[in-house]
Amino acid sequence: MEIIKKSLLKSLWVMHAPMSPCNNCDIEILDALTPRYDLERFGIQLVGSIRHADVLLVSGVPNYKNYKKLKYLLDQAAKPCFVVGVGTCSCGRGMFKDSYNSPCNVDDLVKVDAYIPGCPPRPEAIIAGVVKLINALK
Amino acid sequence: MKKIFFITIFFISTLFAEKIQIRVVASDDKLARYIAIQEAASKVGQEVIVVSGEQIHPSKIEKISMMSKSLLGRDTYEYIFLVHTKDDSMKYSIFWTIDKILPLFNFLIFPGLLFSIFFAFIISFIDRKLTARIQWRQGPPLWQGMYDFIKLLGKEVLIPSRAQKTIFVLSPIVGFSITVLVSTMLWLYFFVPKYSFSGDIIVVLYLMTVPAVVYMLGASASGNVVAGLGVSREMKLMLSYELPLITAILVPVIKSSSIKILDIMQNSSQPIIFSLSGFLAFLVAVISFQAKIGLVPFDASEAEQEIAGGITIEYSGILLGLIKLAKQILYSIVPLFIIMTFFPGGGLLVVIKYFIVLLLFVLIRNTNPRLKIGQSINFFWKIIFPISLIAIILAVSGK
Repeated sequence: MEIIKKSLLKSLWVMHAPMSPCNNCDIEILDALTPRYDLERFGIQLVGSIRHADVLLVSGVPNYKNYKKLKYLLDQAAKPCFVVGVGTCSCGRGMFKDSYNSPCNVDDLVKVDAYIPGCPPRPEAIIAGVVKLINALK
Repeated sequence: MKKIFFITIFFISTLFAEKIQIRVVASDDKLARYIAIQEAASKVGQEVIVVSGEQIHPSKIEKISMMSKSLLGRDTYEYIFLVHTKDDSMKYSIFWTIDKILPLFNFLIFPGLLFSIFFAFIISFIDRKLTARIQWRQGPPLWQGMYDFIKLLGKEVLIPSRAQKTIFVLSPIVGFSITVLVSTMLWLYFFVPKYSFSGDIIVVLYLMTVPAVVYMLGASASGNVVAGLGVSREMKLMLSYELPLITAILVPVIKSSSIKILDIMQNSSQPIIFSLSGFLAFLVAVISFQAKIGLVPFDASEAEQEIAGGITIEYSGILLGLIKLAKQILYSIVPLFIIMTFFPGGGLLVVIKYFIVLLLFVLIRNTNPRLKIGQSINFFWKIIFPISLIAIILAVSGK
């Protein structure tokens, strides 16, 4: 169904899943939604419930307390739902790679559709990452 | 293939199936009206909806004979009857028009489903664009509402395992169809005011209440704790805004001494809003409708930030799409309802009036923070309800 796919790309609803982040990427994600960058131009909205979401924005390194919950969260989403890793931590754990409390990468748990590196990534980088995701899905 | 073809043909033929309404144009006599309707029913031989006319006891009549029937104008007839009653026999002449209406066509296509949906998309675009400009943003593209809806059509529908499935699935569908029904009624009165029937303002207010009740049922059937929180808030909010809303709508009813939207629209030389009571009632109605649509100062029941969508939290796919669309349709017809009751008429000026009322909603929405549910209840019961009572007292005393 071409029209449904086209509409999906024009209205991505985003849910933010923080996997024990340092709050740095979270602030940049919120920045991307503020008037200066205004992601609503592309139909992107921040939603509160995973049932409404089309994109799961994951930030941070999963730890022992929450790493099973990411998979659980994605299972509850209405498909199709894409996963975007924001920040170096969710791309490859960065300096927390050998940390005592970090069992695995985000992409060991779920299939990640787009990576946005940076510590933290600037809002421009987040927008560019979303655009790359949209282009890849086309 | 053949089956689908015949089903399509049948569907299209029912879409244009006519019903006939008979309207007595000029006759104040109760007996004459009664005869007119009786005769019409037998003569036309089709399903007849009685629009106006009061019943009198038929035992008074012994025999009715029709003397002549002549066509006066387009769909307007003059009938002359000879009526024999127990006392004497009288001659009555009655004028009536026959309106051919297309109920399914009206409900599904023109002022109904299709038209309401597209109008709601446009109004939701205007609302979001104005909001964006007030917040110094660029805002979404024109057909954003349509993209959202079509996207939700293609998403998976999830039903929680702990949910009561029938109520959970049915409630958005019922809420949506009732909203479309209200929209059809109001648009039909707007384009063709003569379709208005006695008591329709009560029907409209009643039907507008149903979607909220139905969503509360559906959300509590979902088995989610946060949805339950949303239901509790929605219920409290409803208990606080319904009474001021109805008392505010009573002011036009008192002024025109009629519960028919057509009479309220054609009531007086001066619109109701220019009197003191009318103005107070207008303010109360705007604020109460703000709560009814669930816009920002009173959206505690579906707060995205605290309870993650509240009553809509467990809905996904097309069910969520229907809830959102019903909300947008309600948003697009509420200014129309306010115009019809408080300052009707004025030809093309209606467009300007509509946008002034819509702008009022958008401005209230954008300049106020969300109230806690207790604050909302206090606001409605301690400030808004007394104002509406004062408006009623002023209206009764003629101001």
